[in-house]
Amino acid sequence: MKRVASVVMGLLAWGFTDGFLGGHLAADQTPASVVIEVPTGDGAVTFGVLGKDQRDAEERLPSEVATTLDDLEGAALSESPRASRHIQRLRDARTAFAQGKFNRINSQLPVPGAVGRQVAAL
Amino acid sequence: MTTERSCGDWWPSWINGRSNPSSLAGQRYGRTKFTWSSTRLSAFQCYTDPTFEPDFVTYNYDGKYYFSKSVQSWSTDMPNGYLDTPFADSADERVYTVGTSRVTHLDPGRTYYSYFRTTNGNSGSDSAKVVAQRGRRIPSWCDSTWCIFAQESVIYFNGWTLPVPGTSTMYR
Repeated sequence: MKRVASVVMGLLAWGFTDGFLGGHLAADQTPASVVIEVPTGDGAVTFGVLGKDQRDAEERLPSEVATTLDDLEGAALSESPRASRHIQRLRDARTAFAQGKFNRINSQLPVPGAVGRQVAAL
Repeated sequence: MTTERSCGDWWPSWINGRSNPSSLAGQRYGRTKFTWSSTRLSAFQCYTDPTFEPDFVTYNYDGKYYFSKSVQSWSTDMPNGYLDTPFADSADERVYTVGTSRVTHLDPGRTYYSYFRTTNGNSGSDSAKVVAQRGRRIPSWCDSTWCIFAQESVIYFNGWTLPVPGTSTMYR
């Protein structure tokens, strides 16, 4: 829902407070997110976790992914007609994540290159 | 400034909205599902560097909210998914958005979802609408939420007719 002018104002404000007023947070205090992409049989599912800092987000990742999949699968199973491909995709993601098959993505930074992604296989 | 070309109707053929208590106590989730026909998706992919956001917008003019403000977790099976920043959005209409920065990677006829989860808000019920938003990457190589700008939007469940918690589907 952003507009260009709003973002420009925001970036100016951020630059003012962070740069000119010395508002830098220590690295371990900065609100952070972890974003991963888990392969499925017909594509991939992306999960994001927001934390009070990087360690918090990283530590919560396994339980947050499990809760998300529980919610989504519970909803899908209650719906009629059953979306069998959707359910299979969720189950594929659960299996792949449990096996440690996922890519780490940093999609929140304006990074040029391969679709703006910073992918590192774990 | 150049005028953007018109490619025709680009929005999903239908959108389903759903919200419920999460399986994790003390939290609640919102989810949208949506599908494009071949004609609609071809039109969408004709626009310049197109992006898509199904904005889950909740009514907050009364100060009562089912979801808290901060998202704990999010997910989507759209390629190149991202969580949109609520920066500069209205306090009267809270917006929760998980979008894709690459509409050109979507397939017609396939049902996609977006999901977000927050801690409980201060009310057990609420109402919502879904705003399908077409955006554009500027510059085109940047996929960050900070590089995506709204171009046009279409409202589903206009008049806050999506019950929260609950589920409903609207065709357009």
